[in-house]
Amino acid sequence: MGDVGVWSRSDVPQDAPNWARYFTSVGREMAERPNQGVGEVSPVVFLSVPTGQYAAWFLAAGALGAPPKTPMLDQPGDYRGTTWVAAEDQVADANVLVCQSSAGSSGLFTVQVLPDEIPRRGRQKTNYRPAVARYQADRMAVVLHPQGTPEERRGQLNLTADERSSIREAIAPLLPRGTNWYYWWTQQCLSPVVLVGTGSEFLMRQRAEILKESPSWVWPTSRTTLALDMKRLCDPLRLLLFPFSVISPTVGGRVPWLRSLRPRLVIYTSWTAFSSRHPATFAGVPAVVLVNRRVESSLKCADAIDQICNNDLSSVRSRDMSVRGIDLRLVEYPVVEDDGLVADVDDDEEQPDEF
Amino acid sequence: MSSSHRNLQTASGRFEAAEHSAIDCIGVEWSEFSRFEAVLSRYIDLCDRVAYDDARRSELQALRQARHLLSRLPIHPDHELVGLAALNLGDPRSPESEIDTLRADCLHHASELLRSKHPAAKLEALLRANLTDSESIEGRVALVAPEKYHDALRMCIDLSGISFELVSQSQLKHGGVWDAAIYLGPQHSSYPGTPLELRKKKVAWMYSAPASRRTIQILWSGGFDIADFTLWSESPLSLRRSVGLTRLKVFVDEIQPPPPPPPPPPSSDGVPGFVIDLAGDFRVLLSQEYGPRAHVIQMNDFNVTIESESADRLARGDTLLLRVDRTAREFVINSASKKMGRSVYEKAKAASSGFKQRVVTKENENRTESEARLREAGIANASYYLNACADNEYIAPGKFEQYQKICIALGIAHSVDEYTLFKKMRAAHRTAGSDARERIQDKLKLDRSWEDETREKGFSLHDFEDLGNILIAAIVKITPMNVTLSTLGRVQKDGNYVD
Repeated sequence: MGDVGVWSRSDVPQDAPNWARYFTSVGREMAERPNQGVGEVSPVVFLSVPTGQYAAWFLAAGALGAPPKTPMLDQPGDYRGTTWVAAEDQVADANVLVCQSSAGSSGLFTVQVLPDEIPRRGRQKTNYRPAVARYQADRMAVVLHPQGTPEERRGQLNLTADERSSIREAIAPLLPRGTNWYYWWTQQCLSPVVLVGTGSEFLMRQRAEILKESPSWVWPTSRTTLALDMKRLCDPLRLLLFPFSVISPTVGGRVPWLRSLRPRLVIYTSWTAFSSRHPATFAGVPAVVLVNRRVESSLKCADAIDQICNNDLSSVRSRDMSVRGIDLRLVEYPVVEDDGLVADVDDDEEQPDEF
Repeated sequence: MSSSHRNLQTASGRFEAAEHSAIDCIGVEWSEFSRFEAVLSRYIDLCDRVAYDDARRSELQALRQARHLLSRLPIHPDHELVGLAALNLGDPRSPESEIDTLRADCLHHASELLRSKHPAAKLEALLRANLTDSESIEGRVALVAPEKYHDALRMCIDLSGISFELVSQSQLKHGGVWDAAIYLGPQHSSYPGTPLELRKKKVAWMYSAPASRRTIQILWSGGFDIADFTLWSESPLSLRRSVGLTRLKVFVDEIQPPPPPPPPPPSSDGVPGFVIDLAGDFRVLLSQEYGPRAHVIQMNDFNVTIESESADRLARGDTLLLRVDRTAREFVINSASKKMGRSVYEKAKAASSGFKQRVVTKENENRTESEARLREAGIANASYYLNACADNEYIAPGKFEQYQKICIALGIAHSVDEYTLFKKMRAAHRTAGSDARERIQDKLKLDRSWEDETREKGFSLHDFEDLGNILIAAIVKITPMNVTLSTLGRVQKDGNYVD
């Protein structure tokens, strides 16, 4: 079926034109690459394209077909994190207690998810404390929050009951038999594909256009996932709550905790978006940068990467599918340690930005 | 067909055009022009080394302009646009020196040129021979030339029977996909003040990201090497077919803009900033810390955005959008005043002036001591606040803690109410500023002819009615220098302020 589990070239949607299939392939391949730690190098692929339109979404569609990269819990402790919260029937923030599962079985942990209190409608004083859920650590994906993550992220509610049921109804039939829907969904959300660029509405409109006009160009599960259509997808403070997000390039500079999150793949929609990011933003995560040759910033990109790109592309599997008119460059960037600094918002405030 | 379908189809067409593109280059010999070019180049070289009078300067400028136009457009040399016919070619001064001999030679070849026909005037036959029936009869063919010459071209060339549309570079960049696109003359001869290599890169997309499956480049002057038109040696870029003389001997040099006036002498008492020289002899001083931020025009296929950028991140070639009078500023003030209510706005304005005056008075008493006091109070960028308070457009510190610290450290009055007024005023200014920016952005998106004009001359001026006059200009030079606060953001032309 191509979009879950092992992937091969023939799995790329056959209906799609060459360029869309190539982006799908590059997106998938890059998302499959492991996230790297500080001191290592991380691959960034620059794709010189004749137009930047729609390309990001085919990269995203490919990346969503790659196995999620959720970390394994390996230290007992009391944490705050994002995971499946059964009481809310969705992925949400919760307190997470990681314990050694039993005496003698070293290395195995159990995870207890302690949902936050949910204020109940109509009852002013009494809050409802939902039940604690317990899982074996290898049966539940959890992403522990980096330091500085706000205790309560933007609002409590992530998906409405209607949204939850429609997503479940659409995706569950596409999963292989025996796949636990919520486990699958949690992994997708905790290892998201992040698109970084300006004009989120414009980008989201392109996504909708692809799904409306040429749905068969996208893998079924990616298609269903990308069909999510809500403004919350463009809210950086809700990262990890959805399988994909669209954020602006400067967010990382302003929100340090967000920088240390580790998505599955980061797609920069332009050189400007890539070059204006805080260098520690998603450092170590494979990235793809779209460089539209019809936009003048492509000249700056060419200048910047000409000397540092790796001419040996033998490690790039998708090059076999390469399409004339789309040129690929690979640069390996050292993964830098976060300086922890916040962009000086005050300075920004002081200098008039009005026209 | 829905618009979304059209958009996706257009993008797909772009990818497919790049994938299957074929570039044909047709070189046409025009010996009269080659001779004229060669002599003119020698004459210009010599003139560059000696002093000459205004009459020679204006004649030389006319000859260069004629060469520029004839290299780009298939119009007859006696066309009024070219200006050759208006020159007094028949009576050269008696040659007394090398320069006069060259001038006489040049005028002689210009006369010869006037008697010759532009070879590309036979365009119809040339195109008939090179376009397939499906392209020329049933298809859509784009004939690419600068928009300001479209009317002249329609009068000069007879392409009846060929289904074509005259389009400019920006229309080609942002429009749909064509069956064939014909490029008349060199496409990189715009962007005044930009080095040749960079100019070629700026139009590289025309060959590597074409708007048509087939590109026909017609040249009657200059050389053409497709390898010059790449960003990073894109593998797809190659000529399919090259016929005729594609490597003529002389390359057309551009109308060189006069060098920008020397930067003002460094000011020791200013703040760190930059002198930004713009095309068209405009200049603006900006600082990364003080005064207005730069507004850079960013473009992609369908979108134009105005991004605010710190001055230290600007680069040569960036296109700036600048207000050239106070109308836009007045728009911001009036809108903010309307939003807040006139009396509240006036109160806020008075509070801001009062606060700044209190700070400036303390600063005037003893700047060193004031700075030291602010630093002791934990304000790292003490000099910033002291300087900013001398700036008319500055309102007050953005954060209450900062405002409070400044006032306590300098021993001046402060209150929560006063700060609340600053906050309201800042918010109202920002909203108004952002409205103004969006309106300009929308106008620039709607009619993109400014793009051609800016490419052609390096700058363009626009009247945006209640938002005032706006200058769009490319940066040609950036010089780091101390600048005085009162000069920041004000556009100068030939050394004089235009507002």
